[in-house]
Amino acid sequence: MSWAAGLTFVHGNSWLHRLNPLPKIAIVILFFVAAIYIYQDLLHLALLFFISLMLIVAAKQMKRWWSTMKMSFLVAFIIALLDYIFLGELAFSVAMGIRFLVIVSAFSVYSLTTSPEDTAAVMTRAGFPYSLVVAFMMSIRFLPLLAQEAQNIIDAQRSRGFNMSTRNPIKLVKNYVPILIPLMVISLMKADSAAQALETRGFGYSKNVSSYGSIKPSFYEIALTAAVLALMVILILNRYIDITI
Amino acid sequence: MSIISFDGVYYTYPLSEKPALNGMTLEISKGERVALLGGNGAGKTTALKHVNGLLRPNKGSVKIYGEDTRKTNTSNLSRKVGIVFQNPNHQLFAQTCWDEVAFALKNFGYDDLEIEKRVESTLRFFGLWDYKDESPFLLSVGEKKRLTIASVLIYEPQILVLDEPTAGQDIEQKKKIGNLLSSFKGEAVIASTHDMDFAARNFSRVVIMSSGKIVADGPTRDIFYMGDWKSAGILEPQTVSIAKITGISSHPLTSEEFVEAFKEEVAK
Ligand SMILES: Nc1ncnc2c1ncn2[C@@H]1O[C@H](COP(=O)(O)OP(=O)(O)O)[C@@H](O)[C@H]1O
Ligand SMILES: [Mg+2]
Repeated sequence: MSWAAGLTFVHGNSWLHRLNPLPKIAIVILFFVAAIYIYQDLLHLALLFFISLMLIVAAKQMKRWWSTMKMSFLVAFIIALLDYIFLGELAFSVAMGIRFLVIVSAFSVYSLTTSPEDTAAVMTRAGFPYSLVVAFMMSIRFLPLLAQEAQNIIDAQRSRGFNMSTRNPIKLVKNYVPILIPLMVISLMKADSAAQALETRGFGYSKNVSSYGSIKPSFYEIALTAAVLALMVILILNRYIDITI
Repeated sequence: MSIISFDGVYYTYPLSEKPALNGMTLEISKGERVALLGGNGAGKTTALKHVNGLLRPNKGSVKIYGEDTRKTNTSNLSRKVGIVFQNPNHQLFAQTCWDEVAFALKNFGYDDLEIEKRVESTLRFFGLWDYKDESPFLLSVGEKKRLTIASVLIYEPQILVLDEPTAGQDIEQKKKIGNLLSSFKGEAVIASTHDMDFAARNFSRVVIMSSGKIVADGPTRDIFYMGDWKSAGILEPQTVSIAKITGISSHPLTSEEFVEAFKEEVAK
């Protein structure tokens, strides 16, 4: 397993695992909104990152989170570097990098602690079309599988003397061809066989799909969701409207 | 001198709890043909990926021609070690079969004249010349497999490594792959396989793995007649089972050998 490890569900027994997906979705949305629309300064963004880190500690998934973050630090660095090259503002560029880290980290908190089935159940209740929900769920399921396939492909090409790294940027793009084409072919083959497997078991037979063991949020969880959303509204108002009391 | 040497190799995949290789020690000398047997998850693929440095031991060492894999890189090692992986879809990418087999030669910096010469002779040898302008994706399962073997053998590695070469192949293809192995001019072949008959026909030495360790290692005939390896997830070739039941003493490994031995017993 690799960089995708922090984006896939693992069974656990932390309170985050037991929490209904509804307030968790609200918390993740709050993270996104706070990182993108509300806070622009280094200190607040760093604090947001730190809070997501504490959530991961609470969920006891540091190891997997870290394997995703390692990769993300690299991407964040590239984002910051490009911003700095083109805009020349150091603080802003670093903030952009941290913003990316906050988003990945918050998403990791959610995906590590929420089974795709639970997400799907919430989406269905919220009125999303069932086929869309299934497609969403399956693409999440395929992510670690695809990472594994990508590794196998890289191994096979490297065994034929293939070397991806080069200083020449045009060559670098060309160098991904022997990796991307097999990956695409394999993905299409998997999608095709998944579709056949679904259809042979009656997918699409009826519009009225029954659900087994659906998880209802408790009063406390609905209240938490409302509180998180209220906090978000207040933060947005505070940021964009001058409310001096 | 051994050309492949595993010395007390331990390897655990990142984020995995259980070691995939658990103190594996193995020496392979020039001229040997070794079949690596073992049930699913025994560690065969993991072991093979150590031969060209795609994976490096957490503990212990792997040496190829005396060179520690940790002190060199996969590009250097793959010059000497050719690995053909199980699933052709993990490597086929080029527009034509011609380009697919030329890929390694380009990576290793061969000149145009040499590339043309080698691609033609290799494709002809593998019976794929007629498909030289076709897409690799349009070939049959057996042809794809042969194309992947061709795309590695074309640069004449001294050591040939195959991961489950007969998986999903029919009898005809298995025979062809067996013939390709016997025509291999390099110094050593090591192949993992589930196919006991294939192992018995093509390999002089058998290594049995279970839970990341080697549990048996020796000449093919001795290993299959010494005992049964059911605990390692292995069933002996059917010929061996029948020979054991009928009490034929010359230890045949293939159906042809069995028929010969049977005729002799009857004549007695
Ligand atoms: N990429 C990987 N990440 C984690 N564990 C792996 C990975 N690849 C293989 N394993 C584990 O390592 C062990 C050995 O696997 P492998 O070498 O593929 O066995 P074999 O080829 O004999 O079937 C198995 O328990 C398998 O689950
Ligand atoms: Mg294997």
